[in-house]
Amino acid sequence: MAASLKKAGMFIYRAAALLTAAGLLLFSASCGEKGAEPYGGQDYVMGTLMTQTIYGGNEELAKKATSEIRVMEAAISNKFNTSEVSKISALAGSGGVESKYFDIYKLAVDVSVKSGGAFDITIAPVVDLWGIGTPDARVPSREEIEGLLPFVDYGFVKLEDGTVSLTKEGAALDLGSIGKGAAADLALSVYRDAGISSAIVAVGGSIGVLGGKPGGAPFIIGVRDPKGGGNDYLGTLALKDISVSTSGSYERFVEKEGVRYHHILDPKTGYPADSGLVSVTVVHENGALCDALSTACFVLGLEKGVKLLDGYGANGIFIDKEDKVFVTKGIQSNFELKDGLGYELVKIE
Amino acid sequence: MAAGRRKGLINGVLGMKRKTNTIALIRLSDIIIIIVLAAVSFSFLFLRTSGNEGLVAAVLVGKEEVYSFDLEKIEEPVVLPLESEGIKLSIRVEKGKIRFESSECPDKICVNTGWLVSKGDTAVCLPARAAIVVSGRKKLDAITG
Repeated sequence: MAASLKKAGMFIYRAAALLTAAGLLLFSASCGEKGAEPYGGQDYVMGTLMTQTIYGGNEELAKKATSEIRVMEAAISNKFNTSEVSKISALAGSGGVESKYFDIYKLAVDVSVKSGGAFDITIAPVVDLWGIGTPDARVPSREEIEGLLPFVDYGFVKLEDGTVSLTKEGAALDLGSIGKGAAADLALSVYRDAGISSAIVAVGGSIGVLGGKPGGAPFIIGVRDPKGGGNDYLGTLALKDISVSTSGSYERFVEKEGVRYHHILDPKTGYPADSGLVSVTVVHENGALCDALSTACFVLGLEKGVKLLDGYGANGIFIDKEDKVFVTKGIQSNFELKDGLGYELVKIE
Repeated sequence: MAAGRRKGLINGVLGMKRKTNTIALIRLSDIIIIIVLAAVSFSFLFLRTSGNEGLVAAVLVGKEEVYSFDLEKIEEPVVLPLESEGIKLSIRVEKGKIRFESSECPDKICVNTGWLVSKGDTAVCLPARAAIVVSGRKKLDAITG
């Protein structure tokens, strides 16, 4: 009797042990399935490289995102003579164009107003004059720059019933500092519509994050080290459901007589902004806003930049010329500074 | 005797106290089965990902992949010429790393990017529409800047 009970008990334990092992086998196999390769792809849009990583996605979905972005690019890029932005500029002083992307212009003007003109989409004539990032890049004379400044003023942009116009002849639009963020937003909305809950898209340095990684971990985004190469980062941000954009003076520039002139121009002076910063990263749900705010903050400098972000409920990382890394309150727990690079972390209260 | 001690040790590890004269609730053979099954199941996991363990670099011109390298398997440095959009470039590949060595493009962002050494690293020459993308070891999901 006692022996048969023991036997029964032994059987139960052996069965349990085998089931556990079988369970482990299934679990590990399913883990492999879940972590299974996300769809990843690269393409050129908005004058930069776009990298898509879509968990549970496929090539078709990535292509859909790319083609929608190309449609948007064909409208809001001033690189094409046929774009609506080029038409708006050509019609400056005489008429306007109805736009499907009205909200982007609206957001751009809102940031222009709130930043007191540190961000300004009418900077186009001055940007074209410098030509930084093109084969025709050069340092223009002061006279040339000053001759164009009267055409730079966001007050010339008129937004009415979905129609965008410029009130001054000779004024022109450049949405280059908001377009990549808007493109990342568009990609995320394509994924969302397809029922995707986990993806990350990078349009140049503008990153859009949908959800977290499968399993719930946040995506890890490196913040570029201004003193390093294109793949060097000084710290990481662990984030979910958010957008991130960075404006830095380190990448595009033109050199003359040993002096570097970077590509982020101050709309007030027509010269590269010199606010003591080398890079600003902005974190907010809206990617286009991140893109515009990072430029605005770079031009404004640390103090005014932080205030501007506050007004939008956005967060940021400001890196100055003294290698100080200022991080706003809302993302301090998400940010990790790498050791040994010589940067000093300063938490903004 | 030695087998008895081993059993006692195993049960001790499992936190089970028992008298030495009763029958083992979990036998040594069960433990072995569990370990073997666990090892087999984890090896599946390992085999699934081991294809990504090496460092693979793809050289893209436009959307087309023109070269692909397993960077761990490069023994001698290789320099490859490339021409795209009328711009001449060269790519240098060494064990575990790859970079744009030279380019006729105006801004040289591609060359200044330096060596690519881990997964997710990319170097782009926009004027030539050429890119090097490294996949394999995971480090970051994206870089902003």
